[in-house]
Amino acid sequence: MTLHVMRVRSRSTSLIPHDSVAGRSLTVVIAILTFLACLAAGGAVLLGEASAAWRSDVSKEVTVQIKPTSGEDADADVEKVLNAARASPLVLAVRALGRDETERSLAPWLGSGLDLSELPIPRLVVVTLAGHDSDQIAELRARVLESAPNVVFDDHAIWLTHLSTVGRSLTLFVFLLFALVVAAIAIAVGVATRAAIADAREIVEVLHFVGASDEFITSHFQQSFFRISAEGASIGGGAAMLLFVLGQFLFSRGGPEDAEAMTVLLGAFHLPLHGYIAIVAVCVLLVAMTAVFSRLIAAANLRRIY
Amino acid sequence: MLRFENVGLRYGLGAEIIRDATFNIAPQSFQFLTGPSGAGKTSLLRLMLLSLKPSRGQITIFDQDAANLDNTKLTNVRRRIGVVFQDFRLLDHLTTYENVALPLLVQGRAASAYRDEVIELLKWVGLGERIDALPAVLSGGEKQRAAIARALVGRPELLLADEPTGNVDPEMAWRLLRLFVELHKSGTAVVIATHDLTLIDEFRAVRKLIITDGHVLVRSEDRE
Repeated sequence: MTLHVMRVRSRSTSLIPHDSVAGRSLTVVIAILTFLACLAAGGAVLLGEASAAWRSDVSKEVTVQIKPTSGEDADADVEKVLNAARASPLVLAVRALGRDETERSLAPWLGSGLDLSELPIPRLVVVTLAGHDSDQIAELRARVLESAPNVVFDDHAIWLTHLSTVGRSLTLFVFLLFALVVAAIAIAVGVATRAAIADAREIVEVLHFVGASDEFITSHFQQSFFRISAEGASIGGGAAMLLFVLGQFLFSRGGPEDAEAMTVLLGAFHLPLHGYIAIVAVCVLLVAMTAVFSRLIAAANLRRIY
Repeated sequence: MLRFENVGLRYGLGAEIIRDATFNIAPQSFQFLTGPSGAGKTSLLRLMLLSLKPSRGQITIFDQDAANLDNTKLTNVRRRIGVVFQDFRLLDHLTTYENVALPLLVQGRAASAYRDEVIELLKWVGLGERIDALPAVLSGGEKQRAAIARALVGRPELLLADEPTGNVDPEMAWRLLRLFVELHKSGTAVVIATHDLTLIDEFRAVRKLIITDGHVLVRSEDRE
């Protein structure tokens, strides 16, 4: 008898058999959908970080372009701009880019190893600001243009507007993608729950006959779907995390020029800790939603069996 | 305890298979439900279990009109009824122990509170060595005994059994019937559906519900 009791204790009773829940296919569906949702969430964090870095860099810098115009002394203009900028209290640092440096900054767009000596590449003066005060920037602009009227003063306002628009669009896209994933999971879980109840109809009837309440039965359906979705979400979320880690590893392994070019274009491919936390949160949210959906659908369908 | 008044049952648009059934199952009573195969014994038992709704008439169970029971009340009523199905209805993925303990599990009782009781009952019906077996490996008689144990484990006020001795040898049949009698003596009303008249005669039942041509006739014989 002791042996029997030990055996009975060691077995955890699952009243709804996993086979009847079409468990494997649903696990795969949830894994794929979770993977997509996690990619969207991680991508949003990554792009958000890059966008914030871009905005921070761009908003704290002003670029003055001195175009090579015939008959004008570009070096003299550069000197005038440097002096005018240094006189402003808003300016933290100011420096003129040499020709080599300017050519290197064009490499991500034009490619490396090209002879650009024949091109009329403008001289650039990069002014680093202590802050982003519109009035002070306007005063700086007036001061610079007064000292050198032919230069182009670029406070990157257009870029900032574009970046904000891109950031908002990406956020909206991520939300739409997430909403689609949620809808797809709801539909998949709905179909699977109805199929599970149909498969387990005889079990449900027996449970009713032995005095099980609807709440008891739905909680068992919910437990089954919770296990399935937790398994699927772990696989999908884990795969997404692995992809980000792998991406970061491959990114860091690339040549310095490639890495620099990618950093200029996309920012650093490094998902911060809160990106991974966001992925875990997405997984938890999807599992919780699956459990709630399955419970609601099971309860609605059980009323028809009674 | 259970009262049928002019109850009729038809499936779909077919003819009535039970007509004007009027009878009463008293508390602590013992009766056989009999009649030829296909007469409607199982349908009548399903009406008693409230798994079928009558086409007409009224069923009153535990002083409640069956037509007015919501899901919660229906669940509470079923917890007071034990049922043995003709086809056993054991859950294939559960062990014998788990199947028998099911009525207690669904009531939310802790396994530690009923484990010994269930094992004791399984030993009593001769399944002490089959506690961990799945229904697929049980013989017909063993399934039958497991189904009976499941019906008895909750100490129901009303026991409905559909051909409970149909798959066992005469010795086990007699033993199982003695089990029902013991249950009856402890206060449970028992209704056993069977077409085995010999068994009924040997058992000296005091009351019979006989289904013929859809009508339920009540015969009481003071032979106990």
